[in-house]
Amino acid sequence: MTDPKSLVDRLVSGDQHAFEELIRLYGPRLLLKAEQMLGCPDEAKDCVQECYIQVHKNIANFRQEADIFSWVYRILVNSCLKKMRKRAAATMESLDELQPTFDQDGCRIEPLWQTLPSTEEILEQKGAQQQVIAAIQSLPPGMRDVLYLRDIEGHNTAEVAEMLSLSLSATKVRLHRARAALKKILEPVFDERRVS
Amino acid sequence: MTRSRTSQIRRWLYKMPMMMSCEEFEGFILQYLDGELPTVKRVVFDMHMKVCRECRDYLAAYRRSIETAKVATERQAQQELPQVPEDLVTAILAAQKADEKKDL
Repeated sequence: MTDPKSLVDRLVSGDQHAFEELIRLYGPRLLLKAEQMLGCPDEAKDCVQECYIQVHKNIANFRQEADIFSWVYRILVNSCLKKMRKRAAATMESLDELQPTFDQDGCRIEPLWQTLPSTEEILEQKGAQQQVIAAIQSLPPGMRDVLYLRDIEGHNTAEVAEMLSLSLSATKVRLHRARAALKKILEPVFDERRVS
Repeated sequence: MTRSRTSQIRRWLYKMPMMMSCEEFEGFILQYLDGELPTVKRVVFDMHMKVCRECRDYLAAYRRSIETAKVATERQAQQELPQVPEDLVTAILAAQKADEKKDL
């Protein structure tokens, strides 16, 4: 098993093999994190690459007493956030077809559930985890990113607004629409218990 | 009771004082879940939820979706990961070399 301290020493001394070792050691976790944050494999790879270039450039400034993985991870997250901010500024799809519907009197038209399955029950179904991940990734980036930072990473709405350079009200609208769309996309996964 | 009969009752009920329609209910969900609804609004929201099965079920599924998304993502991160793709390793090493040359 690679000793992080000696790996850092070798990196600082310019050992090229150590850099490749670092890529192979943390690459899988960083790539998954970037894919989860961005929902796009190609953009995730770009961010991981950008992250390692930054690591290589700045390794001399790394404080030896700190945890190397946490440092690299922070660089990656910042690189992904930069990409998210760019996407947030772009025009957003409205996804009207995935929003709740109401009749002319403002009454909700909604499937009824006999019993709503628990999260455990949902994820026990074969392939459900992948279906849920795919559902998140299928949301337009401008909505998906807000939902990811708020509901999966657990930041509060004001923090998300700041992270994405959005107004608080725009962040709230995106969050609610993203959640409503996600619910709609996931309905088939809950479907077994629906009242006819 | 049939659903159409229930719908008629709902229409009549939501026009009563201290009641809100499903569409208005929708507009307060975010504040409700964040605990930011003023007391009176919250009472009206809760009252609507008591009498409207559609909104109750909607909100339950809405919350369950959020929770399921979070747990599925966390579980994915805990699973054994494949190795980093070779093309990415090669691309990073090439980019790093190009970056070094640029700085010289």
